[in-house]
Amino acid sequence: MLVRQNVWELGGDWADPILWYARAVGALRPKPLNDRTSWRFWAGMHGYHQGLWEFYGYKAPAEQVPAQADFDEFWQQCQHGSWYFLPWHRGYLIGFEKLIRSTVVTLGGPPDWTLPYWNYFKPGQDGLPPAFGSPDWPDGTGNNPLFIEQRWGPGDPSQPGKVFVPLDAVNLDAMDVHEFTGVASGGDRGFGGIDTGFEHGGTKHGDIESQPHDQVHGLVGGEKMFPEASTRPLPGLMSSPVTAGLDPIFWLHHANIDRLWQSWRQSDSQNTDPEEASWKKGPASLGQHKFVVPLPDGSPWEYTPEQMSDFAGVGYTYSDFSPAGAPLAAVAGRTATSSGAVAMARSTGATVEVLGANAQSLPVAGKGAETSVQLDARTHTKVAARLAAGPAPGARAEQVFLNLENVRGYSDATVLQVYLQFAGKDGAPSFERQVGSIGLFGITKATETDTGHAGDGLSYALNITKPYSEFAGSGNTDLAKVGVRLQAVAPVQQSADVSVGRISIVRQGD
Amino acid sequence: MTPAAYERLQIRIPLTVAAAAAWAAVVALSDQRRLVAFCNSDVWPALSLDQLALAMTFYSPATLAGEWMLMVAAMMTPMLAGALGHVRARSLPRRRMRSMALFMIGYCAIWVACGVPIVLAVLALQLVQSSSIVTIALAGSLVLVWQFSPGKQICLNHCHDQPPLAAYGIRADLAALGYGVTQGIWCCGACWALMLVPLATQGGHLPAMAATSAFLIAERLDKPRRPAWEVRWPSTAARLLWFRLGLWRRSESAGVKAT
Repeated sequence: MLVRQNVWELGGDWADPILWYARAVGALRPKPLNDRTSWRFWAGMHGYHQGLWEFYGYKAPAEQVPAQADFDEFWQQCQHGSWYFLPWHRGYLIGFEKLIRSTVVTLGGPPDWTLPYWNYFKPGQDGLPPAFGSPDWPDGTGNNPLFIEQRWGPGDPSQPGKVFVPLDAVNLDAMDVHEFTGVASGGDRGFGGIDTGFEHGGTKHGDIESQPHDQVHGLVGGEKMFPEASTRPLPGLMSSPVTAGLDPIFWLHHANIDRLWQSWRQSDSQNTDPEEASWKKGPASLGQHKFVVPLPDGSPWEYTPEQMSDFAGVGYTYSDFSPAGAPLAAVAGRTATSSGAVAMARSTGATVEVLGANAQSLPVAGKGAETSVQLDARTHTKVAARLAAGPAPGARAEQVFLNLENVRGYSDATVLQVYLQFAGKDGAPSFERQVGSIGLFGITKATETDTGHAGDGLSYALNITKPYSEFAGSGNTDLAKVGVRLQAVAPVQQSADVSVGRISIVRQGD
Repeated sequence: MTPAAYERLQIRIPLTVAAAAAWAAVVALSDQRRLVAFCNSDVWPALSLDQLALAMTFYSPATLAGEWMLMVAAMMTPMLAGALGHVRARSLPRRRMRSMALFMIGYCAIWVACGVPIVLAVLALQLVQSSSIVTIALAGSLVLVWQFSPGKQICLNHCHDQPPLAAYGIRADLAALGYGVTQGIWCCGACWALMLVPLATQGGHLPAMAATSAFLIAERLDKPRRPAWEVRWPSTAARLLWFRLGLWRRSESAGVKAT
């Protein structure tokens, strides 16, 4: 069995698996764009933007993109804002790993090469692995293909390789969600995302996609102003779905997300993949695009989520399944009903209702923005009573979510920390709680109206049940003014036109 | 069933019932309906003011408008699930019905207004010549040109719009009404040309209406795409059909093997 290892624990910055990875990337980069086994062809399968690719030098203006048939079959397939996010990316990683392994072997390397993963949650491992941040090979010569100039995340701007993932901007809350798929109307979207068709840029990301996947993309890639090219900031490669696949660290980040999927399944017997045929058979069963990537010989390999869900059959495993480096609880068996069928999702049939909303669109620039949400007194009273009483036997637990709806703009790298402020009345103290963060990965595409999107932006749902319970239980709080503060990890450019269409609070329960 | 599928069903079931009721009314009243007869009347090819006045004594505008909206209800209701679901999800529970009603008022108002130019377009086709074959050719050309135009794609893309909606007070009412109006405009833009087909078809009007309705629904299943002059057809629906038929054949052959 092939084992994917932690990149920080390979035995050195330039341990053999990393050195061979760099050599393979170096061999695949110069290949023609329209070659199914070229580095850039694989990046285009995730997403493509002619202007950015040419500006960053990944495509010459006269260079031909793949022929229409190949373009339509393979390119621009990545699944986001969909319950296909995890299985599509797993197949994409498997195909990529096969290509790199085959190239490594051609170069005289080991036939059991595997893709390492980057677990930024493990203590001391939040920094970009050093081999990716060095412009030089270990012998000091330049042109290290793992080094990418367009990484402008947090860190020393003069040293692009020193980017890191600020741990206060990411979390593993998704691992505590026990349903793979959820509701689309403002409540929990589930660990893996909502039930959609083929979504190359869906607007409602699932829990593990929303956190930490999106944030890590934007935090590593960052953004930079190029006044000669655009009035808006341009994304680092990792920050946008249309360029992310060009950065060699992309694959190690997604190996970690893939690892977290299996970790989630192993951590609790309730955590199971969907049983619906439309998930198992993939979007082809809905009359939409199939999932397909080329094998190292160039022939197409079609795969389905059902195949990707069978972890024992995918041909690899991970050296460690603990999400943040801490030991996992004992693995439990899969839950099934007495008939053998997996039970219907608990949130199927749940009531989802708006509890309050702010008054108008909120522009976000500079360090962030603030607004307040007015609660509907009648619904709040109901929610407060249910939260105080706790769930009745067999009933659904009452949950509360903060929704940031129709988030639009042109800054895929932006990560916003989200705080709730509960104002006291009659002299009672106010208090503030951080309730998570959002990463605007994919926002540019979701804002434009001419590229196959309606232009309504992205929408986010953060579980705020715990702080809301504190607030609901206190009694001396102002229902007309629940503050929401968005604090940018890096300043948001005015020219990026970032705005939140509406902020609402939503309840989910019986 | 997934939670999101359940939510979709909560909207689709009442809309399906409403559409079925409208279709039942269309079929039940098919002998008494005047709109198609009006559009295909013999008076149009040799129109004079006297003849127009005579025609209008037989066809009351209110009756024609009622029939038009019945036709719209039957054909368009199934396509409103996304927009109405959005209004429902973004409204306070106590305002849901009111917001959805306001959305429908705005949407229907646009379709009522659009009925006039659409019916006039059919009449204009009748006026310019007397041969039904030429009418069909002219209407067909108009439909095809619009179907393959970037304008049509822009309208289709906007049919997927789900904008922010205010939650409280008059702003919430105006938001729901305004969303209905804009959806009505984009929907009329996407559908007006194809609506000429059932209106211009007197013999076989109901099958033409059913076929047009099925085509419009199939067309709406496709994702938004870059507007351009191009030959388009409802590819998602076609592939879905092909896949389902393929599955049916596969399961049948598997059953044969098992026995």
